[in-house]
Amino acid sequence: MNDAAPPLLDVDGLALSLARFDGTARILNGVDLVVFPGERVALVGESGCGKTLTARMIMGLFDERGASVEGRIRFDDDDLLALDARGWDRLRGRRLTMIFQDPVAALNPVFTIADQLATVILRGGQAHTRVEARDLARPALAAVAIADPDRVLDSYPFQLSGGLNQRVLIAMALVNRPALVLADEPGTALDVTVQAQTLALMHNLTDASGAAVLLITHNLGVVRNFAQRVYVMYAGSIVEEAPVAELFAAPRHPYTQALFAAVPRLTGEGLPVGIEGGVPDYRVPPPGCRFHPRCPHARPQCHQPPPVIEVAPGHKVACVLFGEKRDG
Amino acid sequence: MIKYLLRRLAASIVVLIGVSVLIFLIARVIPGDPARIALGPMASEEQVAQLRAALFLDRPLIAQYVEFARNLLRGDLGVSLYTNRTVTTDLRQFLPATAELVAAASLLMVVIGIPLGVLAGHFRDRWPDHAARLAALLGIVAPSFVWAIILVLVFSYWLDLTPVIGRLSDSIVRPPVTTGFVTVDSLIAGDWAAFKDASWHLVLPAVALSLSGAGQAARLTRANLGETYGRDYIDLARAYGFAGRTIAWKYALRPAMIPTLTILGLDFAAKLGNAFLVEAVFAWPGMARYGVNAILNKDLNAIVGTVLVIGFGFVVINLVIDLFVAYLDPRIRYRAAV
Ligand SMILES: Nc1ncnc2c1ncn2[C@@H]1O[C@H](COP(=O)(O)OP(=O)(O)OP(=O)(O)O)[C@@H](O)[C@H]1O
Ligand SMILES: [Mg+2]
Repeated sequence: MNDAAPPLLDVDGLALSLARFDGTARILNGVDLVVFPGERVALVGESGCGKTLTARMIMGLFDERGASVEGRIRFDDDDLLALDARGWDRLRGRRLTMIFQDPVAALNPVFTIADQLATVILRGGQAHTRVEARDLARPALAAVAIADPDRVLDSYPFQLSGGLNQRVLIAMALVNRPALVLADEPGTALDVTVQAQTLALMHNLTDASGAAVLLITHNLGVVRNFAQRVYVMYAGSIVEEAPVAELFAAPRHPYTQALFAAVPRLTGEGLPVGIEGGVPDYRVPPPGCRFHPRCPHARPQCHQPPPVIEVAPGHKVACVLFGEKRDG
Repeated sequence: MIKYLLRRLAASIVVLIGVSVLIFLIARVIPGDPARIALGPMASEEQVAQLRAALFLDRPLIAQYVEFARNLLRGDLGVSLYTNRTVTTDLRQFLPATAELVAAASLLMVVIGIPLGVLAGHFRDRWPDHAARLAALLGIVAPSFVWAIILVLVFSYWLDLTPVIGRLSDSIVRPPVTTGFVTVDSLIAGDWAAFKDASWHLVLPAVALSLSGAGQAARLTRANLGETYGRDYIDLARAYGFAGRTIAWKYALRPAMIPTLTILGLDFAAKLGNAFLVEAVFAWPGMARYGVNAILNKDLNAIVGTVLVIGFGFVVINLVIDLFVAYLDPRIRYRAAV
């Protein structure tokens, strides 16, 4: 990436606590993440680590009461945590779009694809009537390899397969030529072939349009061919970030290493090794590094917030182990 | 869609047949001899027996029902023992007033209740929601006839704004009958004075009758809208910047209306029963007094006719609602077509 260009999206120290009836859950614990224009970035972590929450915060969809938020989210020149309705109107569906996990649930069951897609296209400003919008919808659907756009346009979501709905969502996300697409586990509700198709389509289309993508996934396997850079998240914080090749060649954080050990391999010997334990209780998170109760290298210093060490260019690890090496 | 319509229609007919059997039986098992009641205590045994034979009351129940059903199909509901006219004549006189009242109240229930529910659902847990919920609750807690009395006291006696009795002032000439609804008839006749007077008479009873249903409609709309707002497709609408109004009135309301209407159908029907009490308060010349007299006098044919009309109204209203729900929900339309 051209580091001279300012990032498109800059999430800085994002923290989120939620007051719930059973106590305050401190879920996001200082998330730092940037996406440069045109870049494909993956955010990886196990279920419940706060990936969706991060995406919803970026999209401004998280407006729960009893939430206290710290940090900053900057997109272009806008401060998203302080954006007013007009600001959101300028961004949502235009500069910033989102692909949801379950395509069938994400489309309104009682309106046709044409209706929903047209509402999105009209927001893009390239069409002024629904008829014009439909004319733009056809090529948009053709671009996601839909052979008969008109039939799909006149269908209701329940009349289409999951894969077709997924492609409609991709078309919707890209039709207004956004600068950034958030993709929260696209297609994981569907079978693996559809999931692979989805990612291939998104890869090619965003490559062509120059849109940046933040791909959220718990599957390290899909990251390698898709993303240029990867963030690994554990229990509400980023524990490691690296260019994709670097991460696959030399994962550093004990959690990342455990994630790799848990990936099933065709050539591997024996079964994948699962990670002992689970995501901590967010009401009483472990002090310091949240991974230390599950970490084989844990030591007393882990009770302090871990230092973030750049172990190679663009490769940062939030772990005390690497701090020690530097110092010693 | 046609297939769906035919299926709903067939189901409605079955329900109507069931209703007719039930009504027929209930009317026959009420204790007391209708012939004796009709003729009075002075009549001789012979006269009573003669009337019983004329009414087929001396035959087995099955034969009575067959006779009843055959007449029913010809539109003959028999003669009222009390008014001495055919029941159909009586119904033609009293039913339109009730139908007009119920139609107006149903319209108000939808026009008041659903927007109130949308307001509450859209501003969930903020002050418009609290206000709307309080209003809805007020509508529900008091039965219609209590509302009728309150409204008469406030608007007719204290404020002296609205008339208290009947459908039309004595000074107004009733426009020619086409629909039986005085408001509609006067509009057709182009008679503004009559229309204004009729509407003025209609407004209080209609409001009284609509309030509990409107409250119910508001609560249902709010609840179902709340459920809809939690769906992914509303998140998507927000993520793509659809206007709040568009989401509330289009993308959220339509799916939310499907369960709402299905349940509201029962409220529409309940109006037919509640209308009786409201009519009593406003001396509305509808089915109320006719039905009550029929029961007190054990006027079999009139009872059967009255209840049959209510059953018929119930079935028709539900049929209309089913069709409207199918219009809103493509899943019903297309599944039914397969
Ligand atoms: N609206 C909410 N109210 C309370 N807790 C929430 C809310 N949303 C998420 N959480 C909690 O926050 C944590 C992180 O949730 P999140 O959905 O972001 O996880 P995720 O990383 O996307 O997981 P998955 O892979 O299962 O989708 C979970 O423990 C979840 O229970
Ligand atoms: Mg998630």
